[in-house]
Amino acid sequence: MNMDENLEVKLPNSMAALNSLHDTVVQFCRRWTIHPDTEFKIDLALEEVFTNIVRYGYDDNRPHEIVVRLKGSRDSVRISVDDDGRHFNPLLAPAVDIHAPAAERPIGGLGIHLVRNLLDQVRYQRRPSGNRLILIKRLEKRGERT
Amino acid sequence: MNVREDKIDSFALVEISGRVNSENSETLKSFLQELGQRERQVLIDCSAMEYISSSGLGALLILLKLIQEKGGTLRLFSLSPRIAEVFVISGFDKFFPIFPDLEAARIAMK
Repeated sequence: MNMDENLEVKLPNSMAALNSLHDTVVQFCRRWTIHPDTEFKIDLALEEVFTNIVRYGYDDNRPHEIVVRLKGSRDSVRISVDDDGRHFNPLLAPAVDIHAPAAERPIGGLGIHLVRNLLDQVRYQRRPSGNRLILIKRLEKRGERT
Repeated sequence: MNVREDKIDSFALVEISGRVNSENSETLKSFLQELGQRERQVLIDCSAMEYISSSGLGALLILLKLIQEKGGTLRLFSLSPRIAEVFVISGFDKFFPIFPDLEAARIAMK
């Protein structure tokens, strides 16, 4: 594995940065010839993580930096997302009742549920400077790799 | 993302195409809220929808609630397998009637 096959991107805490995040995921997945189905899941999970930070992570109106690192290996992708927002562990959010009828479903709260179910492992680390979320996606469709 | 509305018989036919993400879901939400207030029967064409995140699902849920409150009908059709999986993971497949294509959705409306 070459170091240049890892990708790091620093994004402002703005929804306008979502396109850059998406471009980064696409670039990484093309480089690693990751299956489009897996790319879709990584893309979606990262958007949910990113938008949660942008929406709820900061108590001030100052610009902040969110650092996303993608690292490939033979059989998995490891992603870390660092922010300097207030300490918050999204994995402690109440579970979504996916069996509830429409009328009882809240409009929000689905994001972290999607992240957990699209990926194989999600870990939270509280850091002095903020939060780190580590996301692991196994590469099951190995035949796609060249 | 693009949204286009047509009429087919007495139904509003809405095509949502491209990527529905947190940056553009507010636009979709405003459109669907207005639609939900004036229409009773709505078909949503998802054949050209490439991507949807939770914010887009939330916009669709708002529309569903508006339609259900007045006893109307909302049906989705032509979801790609990836989009369909997002609906299943979310549990949205349990209350959004999903059809393979326009014809199946139209027949079921009658």
